[in-house]
Amino acid sequence: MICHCRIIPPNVLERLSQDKRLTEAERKHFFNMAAYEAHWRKLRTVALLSSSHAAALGSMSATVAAAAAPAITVYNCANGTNLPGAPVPNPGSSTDVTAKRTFVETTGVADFYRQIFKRNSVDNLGMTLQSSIHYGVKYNNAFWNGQQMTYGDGDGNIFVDFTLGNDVIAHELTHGVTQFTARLGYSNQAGGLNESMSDVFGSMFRQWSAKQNVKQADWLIGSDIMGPGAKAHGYTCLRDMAKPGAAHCLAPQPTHFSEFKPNMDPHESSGIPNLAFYKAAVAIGGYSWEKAGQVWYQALVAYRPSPSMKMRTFANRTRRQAKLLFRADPSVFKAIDAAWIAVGL
Amino acid sequence: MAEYKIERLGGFAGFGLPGSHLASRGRIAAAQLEQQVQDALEALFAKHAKARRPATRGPARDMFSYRITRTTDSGEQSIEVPEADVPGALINCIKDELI
Ligand SMILES: [Zn+2]
Repeated sequence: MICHCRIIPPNVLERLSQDKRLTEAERKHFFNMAAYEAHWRKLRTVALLSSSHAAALGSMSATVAAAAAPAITVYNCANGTNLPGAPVPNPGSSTDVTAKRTFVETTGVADFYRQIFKRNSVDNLGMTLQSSIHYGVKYNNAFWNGQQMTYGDGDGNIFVDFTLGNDVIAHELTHGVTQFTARLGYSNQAGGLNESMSDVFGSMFRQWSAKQNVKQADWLIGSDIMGPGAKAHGYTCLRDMAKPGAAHCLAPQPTHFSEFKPNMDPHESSGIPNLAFYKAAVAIGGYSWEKAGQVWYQALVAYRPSPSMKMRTFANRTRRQAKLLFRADPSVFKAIDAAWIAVGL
Repeated sequence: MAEYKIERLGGFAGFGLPGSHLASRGRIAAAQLEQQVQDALEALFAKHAKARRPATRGPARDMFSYRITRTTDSGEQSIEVPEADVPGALINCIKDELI
């Protein structure tokens, strides 16, 4: 379907996205168009796009937008906190190793989503993937602000440069994917699911980059950004998807839904669905992105937005998707079902 | 004498969570802050004291929030605010550490 969406008002797009008389594919198309419209207006307002990008966007139809690969841009905050900072020209060949790494790994994550999940950037419409580096002074964090990724250099003791973790880069970018699909909130059970999506796809990207199967993978989150001080104390990661409560985690997590408490921080409660993904992927075997990853992806993107989704709802979506996607291989459903039961869902 | 305590929370690494080995805390006497910063903090406490619940975070993910506690002769008062609202002079007095 070709839709020159910029002449259809957003409220009409929103209504069409929920019109039961249309097919699922048509409703999804209009939903994507509505999200794209809102996003495009926001970008235009805050002037995040260069004039050439804006001109290109202005003339493209949705079909063309869906086909174009995302541009990857990198900005340098030079230890300040004003976003996005100064543009890094040709980041792929920059002498700043952080800029070059950010460009290479972000390109890798875009390739991963395109090749493995047939997704074109976070919005599936080729949105520019913008990153800012050297944010703040010895800043021990990376974040997604709703429009772009931002990375600190770390303090050199507890953490090193956050761009050294390609799972960190995929984690932040996946927050964008979630924002444009299930629109999971950031508190209670939906918050834990939101964080888990980012860890799951972050770990999957790290495994895909290293061509690791589920047995070769270490299932650690943040292991490449641990600084010498953290390592000296025996901490090897932030989180461990296989053993969320382990002593080698800087931030141990619960392992069973019975431990979930309302208002838990999403970085804590994500341990429960993280462990379910690990158990499912290992029971299925092979590469995590081939079966378990496909099921998780469809459970994230194939439904209308669910900002307050419960973990059990997500678990049941993966059960349904396992049956739909792998009808001929019931072992996939069995593995996923058993994994959720093991964590109390 | 009034004093401010500040604690960094959350982020990608999960500072200050129960069981977390990451903490980031600091304290400073109000008198050590410039008047402009003290006024900004006064306004911040007034704004968040009125709010029934912490400000929603919008689409931002993995960003730090901060718990600021003000101790005066009349007792302690705490607010939790996003990073963008915290005066730099207060953020500068905290230190990330392993616990
Ligand atoms: Zn996150």
